[in-house]
Amino acid sequence: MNSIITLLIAVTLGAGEPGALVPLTPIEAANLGLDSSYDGMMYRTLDAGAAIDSPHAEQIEGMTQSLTLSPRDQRGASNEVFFNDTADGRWCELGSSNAFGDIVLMLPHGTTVTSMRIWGFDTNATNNMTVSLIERCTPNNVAGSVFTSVIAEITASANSGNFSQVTAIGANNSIDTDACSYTLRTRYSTPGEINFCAGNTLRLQKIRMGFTP
Amino acid sequence: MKSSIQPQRSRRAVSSAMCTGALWLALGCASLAQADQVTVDARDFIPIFGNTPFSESSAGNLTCSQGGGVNLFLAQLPLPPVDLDIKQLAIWGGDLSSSDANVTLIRYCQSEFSPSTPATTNIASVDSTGNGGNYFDAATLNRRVDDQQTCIYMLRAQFGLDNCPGNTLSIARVRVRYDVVVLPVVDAIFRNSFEN
Repeated sequence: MNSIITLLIAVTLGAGEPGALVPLTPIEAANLGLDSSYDGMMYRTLDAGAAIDSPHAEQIEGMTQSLTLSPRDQRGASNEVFFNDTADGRWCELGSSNAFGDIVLMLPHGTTVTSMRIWGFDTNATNNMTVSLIERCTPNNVAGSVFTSVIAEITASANSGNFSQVTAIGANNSIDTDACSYTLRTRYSTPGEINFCAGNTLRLQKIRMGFTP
Repeated sequence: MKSSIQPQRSRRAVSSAMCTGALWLALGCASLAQADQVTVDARDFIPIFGNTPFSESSAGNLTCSQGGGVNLFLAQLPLPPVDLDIKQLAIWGGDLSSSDANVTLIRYCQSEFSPSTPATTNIASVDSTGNGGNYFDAATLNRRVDDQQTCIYMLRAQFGLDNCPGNTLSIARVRVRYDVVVLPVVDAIFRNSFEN
């Protein structure tokens, strides 16, 4: 039954178009620290992982503003995330048993998010860092399931030191503070690697969101 | 835990009558108001005590860990730095427990320019109702906030009365609705009236 409902929702939302919402696979959900068994209410924008490394991804002339977030604002997804940091960035220690750090994104209602850029440090040959913009919505003024959508995502694949990557955000990107909340979730490892966190060879330095009021 | 940008426009109904210019005194309009809201995700709450075990429910909501004892969490309410009237405190989450989740809006105030002990005031409180699964509960209030120069507004979440009941009780998000108070612009020449 859940799969039929999921299919209907996906069709309704226009699956197949670049900005469409598609259901997260169980593996995708697990890689984000989410529970895929939860009501089938987890989605991602179809092109959420398409990184576009161009300054044009961040500019709509005369309109775009930016909000810069420090990883020092992060809270672990559980008390089993042990952070450490230096001026070179924040990292998650090897002994952690949870890989995720969250920063809440506070933007005004009605704002349109247009880009996400991250800065970091990566000298780890096997682990990569992933930053995801996650929207969580509830029905307005009534009880109901949380509808989770991954709006944008960057996985940093370099391993030669400092890096910066950007992705444009072109769909499902209107901020709705009446019904939803927004989190930037960082995974400090590649899914499947032996440690939950990669230690100080994988550091997050800064996240910058581009938006239009 | 957060960086905030102040709301720039309202998406809900303007709650006060429109009053402009000389009509202001004649109609007795004290101010205009713009409706807006701020949502605080459960992931913004941090344990009051650093060693409190916590995790996420299957829905990604905040839960405390049974046996951890401590069940209190705090998050700052990022209100815009203007005068406003708080109208509603609302909470969403999951409740399959005989205990309830509670969120309290608290104000901490201190002297503006001198040392002082913080004065704590509980502004409003909401409990989860029922234990059948997802919940939504809200408290209606009308609380003027014109003291952010000396006060800070926080949200305190509590799971169960004394002890954490575990992942059968969770908080998804908290929303505070408010009206931004917009004081009328005083006409420099006629002071919003005709000659004195």
